Amino acid sequence: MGNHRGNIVLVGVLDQPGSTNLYMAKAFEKAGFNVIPVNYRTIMEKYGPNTLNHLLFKLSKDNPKLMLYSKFNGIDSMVIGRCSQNDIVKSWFWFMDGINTLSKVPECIQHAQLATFSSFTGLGVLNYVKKKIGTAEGMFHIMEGIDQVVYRPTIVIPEFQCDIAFIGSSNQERLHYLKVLVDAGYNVKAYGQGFNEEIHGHQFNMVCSGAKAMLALSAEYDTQEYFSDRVFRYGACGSFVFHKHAPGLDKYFTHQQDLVYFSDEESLLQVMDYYIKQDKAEERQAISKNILDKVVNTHTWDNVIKQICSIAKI
Amino acid sequence: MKFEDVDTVFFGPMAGELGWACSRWHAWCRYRRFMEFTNCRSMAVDYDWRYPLYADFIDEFIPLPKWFTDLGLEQDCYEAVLPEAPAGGMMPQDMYTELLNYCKQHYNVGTTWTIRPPRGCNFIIQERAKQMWKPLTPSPQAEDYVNSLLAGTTRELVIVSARARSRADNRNIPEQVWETVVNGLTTHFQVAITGTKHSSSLVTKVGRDIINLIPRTGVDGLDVLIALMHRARMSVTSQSGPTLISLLCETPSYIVGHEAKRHSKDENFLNTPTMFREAPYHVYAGVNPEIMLSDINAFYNGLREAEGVVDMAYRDCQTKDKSVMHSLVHEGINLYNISAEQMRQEIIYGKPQG
Repeated sequence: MGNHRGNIVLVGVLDQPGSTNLYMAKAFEKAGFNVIPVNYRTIMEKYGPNTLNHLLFKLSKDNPKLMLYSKFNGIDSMVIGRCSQNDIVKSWFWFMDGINTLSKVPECIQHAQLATFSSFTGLGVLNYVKKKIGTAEGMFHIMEGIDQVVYRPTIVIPEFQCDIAFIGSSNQERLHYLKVLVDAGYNVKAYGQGFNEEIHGHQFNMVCSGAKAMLALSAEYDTQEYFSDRVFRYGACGSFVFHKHAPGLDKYFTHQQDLVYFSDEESLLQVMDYYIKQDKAEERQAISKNILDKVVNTHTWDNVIKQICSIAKI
Repeated sequence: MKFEDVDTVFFGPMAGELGWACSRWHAWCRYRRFMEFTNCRSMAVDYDWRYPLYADFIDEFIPLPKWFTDLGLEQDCYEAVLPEAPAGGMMPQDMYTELLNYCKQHYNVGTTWTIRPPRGCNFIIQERAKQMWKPLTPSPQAEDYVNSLLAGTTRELVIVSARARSRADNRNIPEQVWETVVNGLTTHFQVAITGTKHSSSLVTKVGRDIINLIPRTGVDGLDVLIALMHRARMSVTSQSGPTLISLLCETPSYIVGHEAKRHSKDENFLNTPTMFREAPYHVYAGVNPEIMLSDINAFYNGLREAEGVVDMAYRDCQTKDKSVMHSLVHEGINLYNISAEQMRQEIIYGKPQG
């Protein structure tokens, strides 16, 4: 893996297993860049904001090809402007949450304003920021990717076998849907913060392969074209996915072709009855093959990084 | 005028104190420029030498007219007042009107949104308005000038700004105290004395390892001060305009004064490292130069230590943290919990249905 294309300073979370930034970093390295990780939350906690600011400034003095700030919440935007050294060093603000989260971290809107480029994984989030700032210059809608070496179909392990599984953190809505499924008599498994255990890497694949279907629930449904990258991960594992419908999702995945949408408890139980209880294994397999092909051919980190490099001209 | 007809935003006229321009006015203008008038052309009126405060967000800077600056008014909060006017006074109304007329000559009244500074001693901006801060940066010309000034020295630079204003003169530290401090500093540092002839001590101070910039006057004075601040290890000031400039240049600042919280925290918008020495019983004449020198030494050592932490974090990013990142990526790929037999059975494309 050469690093002839120069340095990328990636400011994010690169010291936690399963962090999205890790796969982003891997794709940058695969594309020939040398990635310098800056774990801003850890550094803030360990040394405080001044050290973080000075560290970033010091790194900017080495003239990296790009300084990419992922979320970067709780940090004064001023540091982004300062490190850009009057646009000598290109900066990219990367935001992968929905509007509800964004409204709780208003500094991120200022980050977008001060960075040379910024991107949002939800189209609705991009539009919201554009409206707030009053300009669309240097701002893009770029979805997350998946790492197809990490997320992929695997063998079925008995302990992970179930009718339907969910991976993600617990919240009221998710608990509600899971309870509806349990009450209907299905064998349900849930993993993640607030459930049995958090799973990363290949365990994720084993869960996906063990379940007849995976349940996908977004964090918010009123944002246009915003959904969790988990659906990509499920897809890359060749899972058969039930996804609660969200606006704009059809643009990426066709109902009953790539996955199956539901809108409420009743429709979830209906599709569960058809595909799981009536055991339509062949139909499930055909649909999961489609999403697998779509995800690994389109929504990969390699493609995302290509897009970033092309926009930033690096 | 409808808001959608606005094509220009006009800030000013600002004729008040440098400190008020620095800590209140310009950051509010920047915020409004970037957050509310993004697509508009922007203009500002202020003293010609204050252009660097606006450089990053103003399209056209207009200096206050000569007839106005020739009046020799003194600055007080947001105002320019007649000499000897009591504290908290305002600009005579006829002058203010004339100044507004001067401003109007520069913009189209039908399409320009004007934003005036608050009047008098007014705290409305920092109490109620949003501000946007950015470190002050010098022009390349000022940088070149400072580089040429410092070409012959390898010593670290300390900037001394010794306030000696006729207004609130009880806040002036005696000149002999400054003399002792500067002499003490020159044993280790290159010292640059900055300020203006009419508001500073040490106007004629010269010596080995001292650069006295006070005789240098003109429109680029602030620009040069900013360039110097960017080169300096620290500044030594006594709670005045240059203190705020130092804080806005993120230059570590040793400050003597009577409002520690204000300068170290409340108006230290960029969290610049500071050390504050309270004047004993708020009597500036009672400041001891030996204590100042001892403080400066401790501050210097603290800064070195903090720099050491940044250096360590810098090295960690490129070594330890990078290796953690690689191992976590590898862990993601690692087929843990799977036996060799199971690995052989792995199906990469097309999973078996359970």
